[in-house]
Amino acid sequence: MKRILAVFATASILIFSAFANGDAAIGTGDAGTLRIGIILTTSGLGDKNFNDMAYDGLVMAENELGITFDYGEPETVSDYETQQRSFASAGIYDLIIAIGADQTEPLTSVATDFPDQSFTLLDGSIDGLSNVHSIVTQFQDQTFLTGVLAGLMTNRSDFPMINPKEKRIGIIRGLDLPVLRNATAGYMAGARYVDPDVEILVGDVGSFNDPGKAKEMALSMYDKGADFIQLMAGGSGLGIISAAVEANAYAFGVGDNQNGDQPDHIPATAIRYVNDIIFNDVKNYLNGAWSSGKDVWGFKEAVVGYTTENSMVSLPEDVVDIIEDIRMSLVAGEIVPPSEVDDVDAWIAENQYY
Amino acid sequence: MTERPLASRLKNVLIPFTALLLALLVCAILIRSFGYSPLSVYKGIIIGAAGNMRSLLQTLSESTVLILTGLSFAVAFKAGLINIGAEGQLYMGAVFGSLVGLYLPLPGIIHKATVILVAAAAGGAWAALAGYLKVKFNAHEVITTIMLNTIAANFCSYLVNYPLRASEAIAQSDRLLETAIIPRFSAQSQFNPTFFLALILVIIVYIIVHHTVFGYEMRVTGRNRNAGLAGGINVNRMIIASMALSGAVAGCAGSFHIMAINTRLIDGFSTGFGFAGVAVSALAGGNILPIIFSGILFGVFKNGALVVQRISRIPSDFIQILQALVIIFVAAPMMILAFMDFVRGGIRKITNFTGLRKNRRRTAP
Repeated sequence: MKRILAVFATASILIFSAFANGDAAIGTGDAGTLRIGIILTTSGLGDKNFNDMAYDGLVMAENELGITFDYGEPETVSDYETQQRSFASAGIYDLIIAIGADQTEPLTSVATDFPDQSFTLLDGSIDGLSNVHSIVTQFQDQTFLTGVLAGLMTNRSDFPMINPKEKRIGIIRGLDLPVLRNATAGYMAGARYVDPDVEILVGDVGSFNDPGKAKEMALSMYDKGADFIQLMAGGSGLGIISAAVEANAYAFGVGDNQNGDQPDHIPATAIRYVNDIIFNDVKNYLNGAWSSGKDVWGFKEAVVGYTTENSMVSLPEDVVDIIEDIRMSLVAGEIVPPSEVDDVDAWIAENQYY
Repeated sequence: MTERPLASRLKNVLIPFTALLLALLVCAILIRSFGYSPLSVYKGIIIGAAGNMRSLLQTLSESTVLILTGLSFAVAFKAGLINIGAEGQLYMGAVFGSLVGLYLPLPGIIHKATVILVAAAAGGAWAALAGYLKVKFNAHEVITTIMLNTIAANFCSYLVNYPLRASEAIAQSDRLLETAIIPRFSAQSQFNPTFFLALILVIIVYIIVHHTVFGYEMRVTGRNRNAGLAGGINVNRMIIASMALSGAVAGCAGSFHIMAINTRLIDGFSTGFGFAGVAVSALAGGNILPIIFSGILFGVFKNGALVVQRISRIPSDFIQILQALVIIFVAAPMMILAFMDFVRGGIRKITNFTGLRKNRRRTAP
């Protein structure tokens, strides 16, 4: 027995020494370099959207601003608090970034326990703590221009994939959440801003991970004569894109630029530059411009927008011109899209493009 | 049962230990082949899990639920049953426990005790259902418990998405009443008294299984059902009762987690704690007391994984691979024995070659 134990001891020493090279040093980072920690959402890296964009923002900051960063990928909502605490109690991070509305509550308690640690929260807001910067984006700004595009195109007869009879478009959401209601209001207002008679169908999948059900909903909307459907459904959105291909119709991407996924069926994406938001927050921290409190950013701050890049759908010249014109008004703050669906009628009565 | 010879006992310790070592070795090769440093991963696990008091306590906190789900699996296994349903029983415990915690105003300690008892009853009933299906309809418990897992997880999901939903943005219930919440020892970690409750439960279950008539009948049923029948044991009753005990332990785990960690019912709060319990129990070799150690070891992996990723940017998936490897090696004791023989043979060759074993030639082949 003794011999066996000796063997194990030797073996374990061998194992460890055999691999005792490479990046063995842990927690390196030059003094003076800004060190950022980020806690992603439970979807984690590889979602080709929110998490990947936030990560890209930090990679950009690493390359351009010379910061270093570490990240955490929680498995479930129960892990948010553990990870936030783990980052905060490490005491080596200048700024800890938490993304996603469901991190709001755990961060409230963690930020209270670590009053000297700076935090940035994206998509949620925490009031009354002097160490938290909350950032919320205007979802109604994000979808306004895809709404305009759909409103301008829904009646055209020179596009074979568009049904010129009904002025009907759609939006499919994962859940009936407040922020997605804002997005719905922006989309509706955009479409009816250029054509008050457009009818907007709204559907809720009931989940952000059910592409099958989303596809059925989308097919039924296309069947009813909708030619454009705005995705607002996270992972369920893939089902809508495949429905668009099957029904030979159009869909709008959301979040990261999704135009390239189906370039013949996605003319545009209601984009949200999560990467820029994260990059700028880090840059502000570096320049001493970071401050606690709540920021609500939209089109004017260039954190949300609209892009046709990578799409193979060639939009008519006149449509492109009108969208560009409206974009300028949005940037200038001359148009302020309504945030609530109930306010759209009143808003349309006051605001018309033509 | 009779005393086992010392050699067999040592083997019981050596096999899991060798399995762990082999898993570390194989995982190191994998990590290396992906271009990362295994040493920094293992160093990260140790620093993350026990680098300071806070991490150590956090590790114990993470291991609490794993010890209990491991215990749940082991109890059923003693009765010859394979309960893959700890996940669902944990959800049922959490659901009914949190209903009591949310809506039944009771004074402090009584409230906490009621939540735990109700959770144990709910988890026990959910598992007993699988036992009943086995006895009555000969439905294999592996199949039924897996199916019941899905039902329980979706039932919890339905409740927090609709009737219990407290927030528009997140699928979760309100915070439990203050009297039902088990406070943590400090703000620095999630370490809380439920860890000690889990240890007490392990000891209680050990006594039930090894020092009571009920436990004796249970083990006889587990070893040989026909012998049990011949000996006058009501085997069917034993199957249902063992499942109930196993489920009750998992139900307790669910209530501990919501009372001390989440303080509310959240959609999909379990990261597969129930399934991890199978591994914890396997590493403990089907015995009850060693579950404490294997539970803590898996807690080390879990808590270490967070830190490995945080400080070295190595995907924490490697830790999951490591856990899977441990299970594979533990589940294949013959492989381990062959490996031990191989190492022994290798040593013999080396020592023979260097002449170190000259004086022992008598024993060499």
